Amino acid sequence: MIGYTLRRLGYGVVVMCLVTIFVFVIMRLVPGDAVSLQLQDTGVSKEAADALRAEFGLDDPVWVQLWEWLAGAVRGDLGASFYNKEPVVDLFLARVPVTVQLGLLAMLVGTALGLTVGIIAAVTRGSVTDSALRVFAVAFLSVPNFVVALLLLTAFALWFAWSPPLVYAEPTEDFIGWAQQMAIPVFALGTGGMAAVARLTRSSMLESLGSDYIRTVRAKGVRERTVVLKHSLRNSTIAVLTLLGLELATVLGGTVIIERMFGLPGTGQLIYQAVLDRDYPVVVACTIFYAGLFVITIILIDLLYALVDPRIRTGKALS
Amino acid sequence: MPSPPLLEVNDLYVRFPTPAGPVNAVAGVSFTVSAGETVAVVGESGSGKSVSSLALLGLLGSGNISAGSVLLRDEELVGAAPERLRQLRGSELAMIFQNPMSSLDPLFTIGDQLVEALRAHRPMARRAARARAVELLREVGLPDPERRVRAYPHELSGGQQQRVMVAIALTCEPALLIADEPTTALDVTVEAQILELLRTMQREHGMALLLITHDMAVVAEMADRVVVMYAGRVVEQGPVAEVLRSPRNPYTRALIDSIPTPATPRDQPMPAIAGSVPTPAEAPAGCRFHPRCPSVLDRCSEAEPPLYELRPGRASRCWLHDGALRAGPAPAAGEVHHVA
Repeated sequence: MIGYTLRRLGYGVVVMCLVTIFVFVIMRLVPGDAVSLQLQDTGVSKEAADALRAEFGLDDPVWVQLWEWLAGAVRGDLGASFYNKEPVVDLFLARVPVTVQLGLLAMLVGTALGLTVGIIAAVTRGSVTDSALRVFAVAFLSVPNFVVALLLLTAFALWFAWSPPLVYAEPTEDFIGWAQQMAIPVFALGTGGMAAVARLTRSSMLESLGSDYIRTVRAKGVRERTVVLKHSLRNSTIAVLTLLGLELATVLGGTVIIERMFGLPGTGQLIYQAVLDRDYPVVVACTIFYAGLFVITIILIDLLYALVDPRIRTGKALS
Repeated sequence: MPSPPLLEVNDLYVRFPTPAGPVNAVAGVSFTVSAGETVAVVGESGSGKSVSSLALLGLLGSGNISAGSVLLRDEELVGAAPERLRQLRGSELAMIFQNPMSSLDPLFTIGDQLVEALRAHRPMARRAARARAVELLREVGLPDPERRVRAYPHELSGGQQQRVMVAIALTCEPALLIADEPTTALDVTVEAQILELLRTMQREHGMALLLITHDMAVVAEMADRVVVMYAGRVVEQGPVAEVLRSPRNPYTRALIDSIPTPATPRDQPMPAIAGSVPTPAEAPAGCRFHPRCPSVLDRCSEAEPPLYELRPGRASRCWLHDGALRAGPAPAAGEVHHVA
């Protein structure tokens, strides 16, 4: 198990290196750079612009830039923003908490609601409740999260004359304000996951409810609640865990748009603006963050499999 | 019968919904099991024997009992509240199944699954239940029970898993153990061990055993009485020795004749009953066995024979017995029973 974990961590590091190099190179292939974008309307001479490029190191060949960046990165220096010269690490750390809160809450809300809906649909299989819940799930699966967000904003504004505050407040300073601002983004980001989790929970629970071991549990005279919530649900978690790993990618992607829509100062906003500005160091740092978060989550999920299923713990599949 | 029966199944119908409309997988089955007795229900795949046994416990998936009565110590189980059935399952009626490899929850230890059964019906401290679980595992002959109680199902062999299933079934000293093809998925040597275990447990705990099987050898070895089923109907029943020695129903005879013996010639095809059991939806008119029957008469395709009571405790469903005493009313040809 430890060997397995270390090997997975090793793969994770390789993946992150490849992602870094890929993003580093691809950003520089995109037409336009930070200098031309900054100075295009100011009529600055070409000499001044080239001097600025030299200062940022943008006149060096890509592989030299990459080498210098890597040399800094291993010492914990991810460079400075081309715009305000602030160290990328500081810019970034200031924004990480918002995105982590948003992403984590969206995953939690989506998973909790999805499991609930899935369980109810599975035990009421074939009933009106089941059909209604499935229609509801397909609806949320089909509508993109930013549309859900817009609809919610509109609905609350129209019917309750309420809209979330415009300026982000730290939860430690103004919890109510924070909660008001996060509610719609969290829900909008969570709905896609909720629908997917609900559908998968329903189908894998139906599969397990029809299985031989559930028949044994019932033959023992165990209460139906225990049959469903202990045996059937636990046997469905492997499938749901796999889905949650993939869902994280969707949620992280969603934060970029949602943070922008709701003026949340998170990494999503940061990367959005940095891409527009060709602010290479910021883009690369954000990408590494997203890739790292994803890689770590996937490894955690693999470890959770083993926690849930003893056959994986002792089996040869992972050793 | 010396004592009133423990279990009395009367004219049981089990209906399954299908896209083509409901069909009766079990149509008018009656039999009894007395306390301490072993009754074998035998038949080919699709004869309705497993469905009947699952119906007794209220464990049918999509099907339901559409008519008939199941009395356990004079208590009606058909239409009983689900909660009452739950209380009886595991405590009075226990069941073990065909595939021990898939019948234990893979995510819980053997001990957890035994403790769950112990605590389902009586309040019991976790510690005491744990100790009792080890005792039960020892009783069913699982080697090294103190260690095995912490094992997961996949760490045991099929035979050991079936022993665990027996231990689970014994947790609350049931009056009746239903064993649905308990050895079909096991090796022959393991089969003998499990059958021996069932016999020992039955003797020591004074349980009745309802053994569902397709194997005449198992019937001969284990049962006091046998109920032969074909396509959802009882076709013959009686004491095992008699039925095996002198089967009265052509189907039973064909079943017994198709058991290979050392005398079976090797250069000829094995004796077998041509064709296969019709599905409930396509059961033929008249006697359900007549298309495959070696002794078929003209009237067999016209009307279904009743179950003739040849003498007390011995019955057979065949027109060959016409003139003998009838055990029940003759069902009309193609009759469909619909009872709420």
